[in-house]
Amino acid sequence: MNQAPPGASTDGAGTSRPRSWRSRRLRRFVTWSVLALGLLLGVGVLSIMLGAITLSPEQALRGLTSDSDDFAYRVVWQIRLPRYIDAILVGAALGVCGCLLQVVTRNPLADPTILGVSAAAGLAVSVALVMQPGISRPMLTVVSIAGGLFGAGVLLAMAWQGAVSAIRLTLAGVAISAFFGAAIVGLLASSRTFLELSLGFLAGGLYGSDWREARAISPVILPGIVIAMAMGTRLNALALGDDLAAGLGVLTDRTRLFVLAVVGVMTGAAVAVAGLVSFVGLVSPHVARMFVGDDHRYLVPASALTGAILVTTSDLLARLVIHPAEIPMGILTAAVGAPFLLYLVRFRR
Amino acid sequence: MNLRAEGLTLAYRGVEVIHNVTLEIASGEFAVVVGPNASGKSTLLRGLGRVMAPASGRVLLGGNDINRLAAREVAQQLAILPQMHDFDTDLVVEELVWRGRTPHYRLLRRATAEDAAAVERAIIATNIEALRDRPLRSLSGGERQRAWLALALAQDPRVLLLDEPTTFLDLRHQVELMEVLRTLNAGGLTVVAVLHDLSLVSRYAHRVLGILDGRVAFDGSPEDVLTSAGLERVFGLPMTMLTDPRTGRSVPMPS
Repeated sequence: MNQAPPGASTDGAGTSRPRSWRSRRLRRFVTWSVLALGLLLGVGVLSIMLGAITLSPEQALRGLTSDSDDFAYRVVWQIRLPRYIDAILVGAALGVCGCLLQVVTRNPLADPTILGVSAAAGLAVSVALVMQPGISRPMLTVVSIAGGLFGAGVLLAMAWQGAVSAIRLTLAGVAISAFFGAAIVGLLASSRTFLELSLGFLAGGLYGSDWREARAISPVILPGIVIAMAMGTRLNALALGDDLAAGLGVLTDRTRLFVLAVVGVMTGAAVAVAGLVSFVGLVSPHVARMFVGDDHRYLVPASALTGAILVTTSDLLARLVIHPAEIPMGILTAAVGAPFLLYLVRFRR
Repeated sequence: MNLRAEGLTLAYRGVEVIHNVTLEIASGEFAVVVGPNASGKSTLLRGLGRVMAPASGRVLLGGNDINRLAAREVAQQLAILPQMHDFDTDLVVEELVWRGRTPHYRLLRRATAEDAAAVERAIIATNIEALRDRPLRSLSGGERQRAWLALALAQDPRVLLLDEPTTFLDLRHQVELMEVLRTLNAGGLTVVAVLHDLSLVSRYAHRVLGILDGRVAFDGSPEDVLTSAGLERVFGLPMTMLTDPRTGRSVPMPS
């Protein structure tokens, strides 16, 4: 587990000395991971019990472990567990995307929503839904990923050659986001039949999502997270600045291109399932950073965990605030995210 | 390891900044690049360090074209330290220095004793042993610059390029940093530094390159090229040459 190299505890003078920063980082990461997994599990238990119909702990356990109680079994296995898994996948994807974007744009306020990647994927989904209402889940995911890649491409065009300032990139992102967002609303509003569906999509939510969604997006999101984690050292170099990263042998343009492609794909997958969920990508890396610090080998997985907690918790609360009905989950991520954004703007150096 | 530019032309989005420069830095040399702001010094350094690809011409490191070598291979032999910049992070000094090992990493390869030894050498060479567990943001400018230098040294380079390493440092920290560079150079490291302070140049450089408008205006030993006429041409300012009574070297001063 400990990554200290062999012989590392002996320095040039031959004295033994603990590698304090290394163990400190690792300890912070392990602490956060254990805490986060505990939280995630706790939210999972509640997610299985609570919803339009409340299951007692015994019922939930029976539903989870056997099909003797047919009703509970169906609620757990066909509705709540898959939805919980979907929430984890969406949250992890958005958390990782936010983390990646914040490095490659060198902007602490970057996230797929703010920079317009989500909106581009959302527009693609809206067009597909309007043109072909019965579109299958996997097909919709593919369309959404194509949209996400397009959004990432526009972003890349703005950021190309690294000379673009963070502020200009953010403004460009806001403009792209507003433009695509307006197109989505216009499109959905002019096709009235989709209004009910549209609200959940625009605000972001997991209403009615089940195993089909998980099956459609996990082959994209899980490898995406692994790839992002494998890029840890390169992201660490990139965080030092483009020139220094280049001097360290990192191909900055190619890395940026690759990272944005990963972001486009993962954001597209998340949007296909949950719609335009805001603030998760922005907030998760900052929360993760408070716990594990600035080493991306740890920050990427920690952002995934944090995003998963945020989305599962929001989805649970979305089913409880106006119980037995539910509100779009994105309203809750925004309710948590917006104050946090204000906090960042006001207090972060 | 020597570094050679042949007909090197560098451009930003089609605007040429360095025009057809040919020069050679010999192995083990301490070369200093001087010139007014916007003369192309930093750009030249970026071209020599493979941060920027040439519009035409080529750069040879030990005889090999650096733009044909893999970026990682170059970074294992040549380190470049850009101008000092602020970087908001919770890294401690030793952690930053470890990032200098990036070009030696491969996917999923763990840190080795060799990595640890290189980091240790870099920390000792820059005299920051006492600071190794201090967060970067708690350091003074001079300490921070030595930490960045250690990062570059951890790459284990044969050639080190530095862009204005002493800017923003007070006099004592400037001299301390230059002494560190002198020691490293005496140990065989080829050093190319952009400097503004001409008194430091005359004291430390083996070789001075004057850059004006993207071309080499003068090139030679400090004794030969640090003359009032040559400097006035590059800096557009009349210069008086004083003589350091201790070393006998001439020290330029604006007059």
